[in-house]
Amino acid sequence: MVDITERRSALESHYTAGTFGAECNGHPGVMLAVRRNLSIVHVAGKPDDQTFINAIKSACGCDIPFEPGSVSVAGSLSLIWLAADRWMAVSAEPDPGILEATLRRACDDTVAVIDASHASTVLRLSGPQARTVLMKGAPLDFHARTFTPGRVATTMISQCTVTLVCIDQDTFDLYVFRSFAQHMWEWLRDASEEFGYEVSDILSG
Amino acid sequence: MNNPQIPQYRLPEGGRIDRSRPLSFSFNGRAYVGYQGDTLASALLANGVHLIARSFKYHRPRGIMSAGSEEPCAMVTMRQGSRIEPNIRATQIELYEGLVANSQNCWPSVNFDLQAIINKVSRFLPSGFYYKTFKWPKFLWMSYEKVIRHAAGMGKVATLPDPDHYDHMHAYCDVLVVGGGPAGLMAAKSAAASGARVMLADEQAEFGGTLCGRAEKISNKPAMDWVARVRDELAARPDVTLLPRTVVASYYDHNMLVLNQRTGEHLPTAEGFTPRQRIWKVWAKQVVLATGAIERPLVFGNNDLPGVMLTGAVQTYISQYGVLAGKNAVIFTNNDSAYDAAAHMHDNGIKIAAIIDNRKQTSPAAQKLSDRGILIFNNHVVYQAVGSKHVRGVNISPLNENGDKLSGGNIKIDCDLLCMSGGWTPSVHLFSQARGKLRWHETLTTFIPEKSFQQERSAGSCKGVWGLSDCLKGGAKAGAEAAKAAGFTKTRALKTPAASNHDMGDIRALWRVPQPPRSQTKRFIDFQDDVATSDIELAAREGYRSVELTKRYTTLGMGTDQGKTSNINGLAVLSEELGKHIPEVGLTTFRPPYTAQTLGAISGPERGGHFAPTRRSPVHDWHVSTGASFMPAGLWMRPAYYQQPGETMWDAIYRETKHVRSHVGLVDVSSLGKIDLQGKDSAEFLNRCYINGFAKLPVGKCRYGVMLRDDGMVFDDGTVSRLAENHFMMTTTTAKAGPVLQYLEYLLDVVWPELDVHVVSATEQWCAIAVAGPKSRELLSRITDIDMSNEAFEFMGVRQGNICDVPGRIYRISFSGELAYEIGVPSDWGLHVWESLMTAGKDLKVSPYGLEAMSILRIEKGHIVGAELNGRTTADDLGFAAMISTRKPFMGQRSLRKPALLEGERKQLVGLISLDGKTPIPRGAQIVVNPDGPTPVAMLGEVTSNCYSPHVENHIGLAIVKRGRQRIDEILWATSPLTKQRVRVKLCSPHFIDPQGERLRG
Amino acid sequence: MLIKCPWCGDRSLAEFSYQGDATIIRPSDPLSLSDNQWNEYLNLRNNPKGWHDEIWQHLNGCRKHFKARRNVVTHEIADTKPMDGSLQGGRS
Repeated sequence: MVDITERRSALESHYTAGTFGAECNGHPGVMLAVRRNLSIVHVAGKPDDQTFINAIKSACGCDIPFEPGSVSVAGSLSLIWLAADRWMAVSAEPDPGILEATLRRACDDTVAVIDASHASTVLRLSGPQARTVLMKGAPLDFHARTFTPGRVATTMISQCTVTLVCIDQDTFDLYVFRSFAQHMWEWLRDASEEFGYEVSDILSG
Repeated sequence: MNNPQIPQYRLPEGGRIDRSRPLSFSFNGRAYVGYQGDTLASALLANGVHLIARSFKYHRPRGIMSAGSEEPCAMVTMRQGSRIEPNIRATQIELYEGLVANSQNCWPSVNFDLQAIINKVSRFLPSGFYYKTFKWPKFLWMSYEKVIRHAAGMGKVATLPDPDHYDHMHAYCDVLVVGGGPAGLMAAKSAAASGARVMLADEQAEFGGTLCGRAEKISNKPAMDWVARVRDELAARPDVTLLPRTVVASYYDHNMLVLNQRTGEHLPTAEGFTPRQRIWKVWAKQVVLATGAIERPLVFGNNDLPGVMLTGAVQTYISQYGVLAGKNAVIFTNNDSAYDAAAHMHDNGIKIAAIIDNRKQTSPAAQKLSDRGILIFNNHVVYQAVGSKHVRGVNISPLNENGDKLSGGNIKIDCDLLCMSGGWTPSVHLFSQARGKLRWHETLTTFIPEKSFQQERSAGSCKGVWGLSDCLKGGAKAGAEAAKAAGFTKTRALKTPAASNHDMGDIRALWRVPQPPRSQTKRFIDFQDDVATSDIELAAREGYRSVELTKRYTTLGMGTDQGKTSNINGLAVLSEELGKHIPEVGLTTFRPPYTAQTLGAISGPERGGHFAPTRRSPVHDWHVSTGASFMPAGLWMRPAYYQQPGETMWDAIYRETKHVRSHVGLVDVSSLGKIDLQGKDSAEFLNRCYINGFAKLPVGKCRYGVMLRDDGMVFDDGTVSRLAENHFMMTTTTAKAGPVLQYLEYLLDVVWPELDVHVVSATEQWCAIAVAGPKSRELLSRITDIDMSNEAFEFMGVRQGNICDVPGRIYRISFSGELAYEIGVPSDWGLHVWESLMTAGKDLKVSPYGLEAMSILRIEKGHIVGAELNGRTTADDLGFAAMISTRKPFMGQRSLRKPALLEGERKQLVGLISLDGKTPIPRGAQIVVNPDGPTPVAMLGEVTSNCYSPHVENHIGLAIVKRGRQRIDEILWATSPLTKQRVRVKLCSPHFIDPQGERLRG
Repeated sequence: MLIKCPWCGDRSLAEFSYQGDATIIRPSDPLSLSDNQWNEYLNLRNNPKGWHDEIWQHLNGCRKHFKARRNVVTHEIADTKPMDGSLQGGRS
């Protein structure tokens, strides 16, 4: 039997915790980790459809974030703006079937509910130089007054599409397509080297 | 001797160098000592070394002319081994301990260069020589080329991989200030005071610009004290980014600029994890250009001799580096800036033998020099410098009334340094890259910015403002204006400190110094490319009128210095030759970059394995651990075959192929595109996308579909499964996964926004494993709760259930032509399912197969891939005519009636078989009736796929052949003249195995 | 270049993909068109010097298509709008 709540990360065999790069005397500029076992479900619906708005509110416990680049949070669940008619629900629930089923039940079939829990590898980047590392990769404005906690942006880093969520001032989640995960991980490590970086244990959830 | 190495041209004190930190370095194999803060150029001058290089074409001795990025002569090859880097300006190399530099373009040495003979025969090498050799005599070109390529040119590039790393950075700001001289510092200070996000970039290691190399005062204190204070104030602001050692190379649309920061170039090797260079892409709301001005050389005989220098550069060597470029100087000028310089030199112990000024009147600025007893010759010119490898003296002469001829009465003056000042050229490169319009300024004799095109403004000497006080004021104003334009409305120019305000007086243009009759002495304009006045004169005589063409013909301004010191002089000489006014002839186009950029910096981290991303399937680690050989498929890295001990590559491929036909094999097809479609109009949408119908596809079934572009050509093929009434899963080929998704999104956003359909890529969510072969059903029935019987689970059925204890889907589809299934499980469980299949099927001899075997299997079955879906084939060409629905509209439908698609000569898909049973069919071969017929041989078609078929036991292929379906059983040739291969082939049906489909339905 | 996605705001050109001429509307009933009319829709495009209405996709962002009025000489972008919006500005 397999425990379906213990999922294999795309980085499983490339992941070594420890401190790397430039000497940082215990104060790494960057911390890297992979977040495993998240439920990620894409929801696509019409933003002017009240039934849809209500259904999502009842299923997620928060309003749909209509403002481009914004995130709504209800407990451990985040509802992340992806496009004018598309959002991404993310929770730490390890069995993705549950979140998908909850949303599917709540919505009628004009709404698309798509489990994408296995489609993304979620990397957590934090530390005082986290923004600098992002600046190396993405053509976005990462100024602390511009890209603030609770903001999301989809952009490109090292030729890969990445959805970036600002968790707090120095912490970011990177949603990377699974097949690109190793490439992105290597890029992040290279970009972090000059600041000294620490890879923590895999984060479950 | 206590310290034998104290350089004789170093001042005992002064300069911005650190005398407590001596650095040893090597130039052309000889050891020297310089100080922290030196450049290679200043350290060499301090040691009395002037001969640095040999010139590009004539191998003439060249020295150091300037002190900055405009340097056209002093280019060296830096470092050694894998870090070797040619054509670096000695004036920009910061000295470090152990630096190694060498002269280039000379043999055996810079001091004794055998190829200097070229200088003696230079009249046989006029401008355009290279082009002329193309024309006549023709047969000689082959021998010329080798000689020219060897003799001309610059340093040699490294042939080993670069061990250093290079970085990229992106940044946004309100105001980017380019140049950290007085105007730039003041602009940055003003803009930052408003609260704007400011970036300040300067190409030097130290901010201050010209102030670093002058004895100027600001607020009655050394100007560099003010620079330090402003720099510290700016550094303390969180929203200011200071970028020293950073050249702003390029100005692109929408105020996007590219900067190159030399992060590690000043270090022996980039320390620790510091990159060697870093490219910044900056999006600035507003830009202030404070890029300064470059002094122009004067164009007299032998003006390229080592020891002939720009006057301002000599000042810089004194003030910034504490170095005397000579001890006995002649100064040759056409403007007042040289008088300040003369005083500066004189104060520091350089004897001024004479000042030669072409202007008729004595300038008021000359007074303080004549008070010191310095000889000043007005209405005189230096018409020739004298010396072989270093200037030993000058020949001067008065000018005639018109100033266009020497009027006799020559005097020779000895010197070891000749300073020249032909006026100053504002650095308008970035302004012009940004498409700003320039205006010719008669009294300044140069072009200055007139009208900006982008969101930028110029300040200081780059707009023809010379006085220090005016530069500070202009900077303050520009900084404030920029901040205001960026949205910081309560902004005003800061008050500027007191400073001198000397201008250049009246310049008397002197574009070519007249020569004595019959003089052959060269007067250089472009020192780097060895372009002399005679070359431009020749070009004009030969009919060149356009400045752009003259530039290319003579190579004027085409070197790595981009003609910083030569453009105006060259243009002026051409204008004189054409009898036109300078602005009528116009400037050549300024193109990025301002200074040469290394390829390493441009590629940054995108090199080696990271040149492009590598995509890996969820089963990738298993493939690696079992020793699979990989091949790229787009960005994906996919197993090609799994070689076993003792096998050749082909053994492995044929074994895998046969094993699928006889037992059961697994192939990782995770890279195939998958698109999830939901919404109540999904079926209607699919109907409009494919040539065949999907409205009536029952839930739990899948169907093969062909998609056209609107021009009627096949776009892609794949299967569509109906998972629920309004829920479909589409597959695409690996290559078209992205384009098909984009196409569907386009149709929904642009063409049919009224349709209620959502499309999402599901490629990454699913690990896809094809299980193929007669034993596939038995294998799957062991690991799933889905009823696998033929009755319960028919061909082209889709089922959802548990697979190896995880939720997944099974599609009964076949690419190989065998009984086959495709498993889809969420990716994180893909490896688990693959390994479970391998374990569960051990007794069935389950075996993995790679892309090579998969390709043979599909050719045997006559399935098409990208080679056949090449954008030039229609559904009918590929044999899908029967699938085309007549009962609904679909993309590309109208084009099927285009006459060109209806004509009978179209090429059609057929199979090929090698007639002799042993000769391979070459890939890409042409299908012809008679390869030995008269040329051009009529080509009937081409081979699109080829392989040896273990099933047919012969070489087979697929081809697109004119009227191919009517030619079945014809015997033709497949010929590949390129590889000199040919084979007789028989045309046949493309289905080499099981044409009735009994295997896959069984 | 910076292109303003109507939803995501100013983004680098690198995130976008040009998707053709926004003034061309696909005919609703292609089968009713003559060969010439179909050819006109399929193949013929104006190449104006100056302002041009275009379709762009924010491919490496929100993936939505939108319209942009761009000056193909100067690269100025006067306006961007969702596909159902109407473009303003530009000296056309």
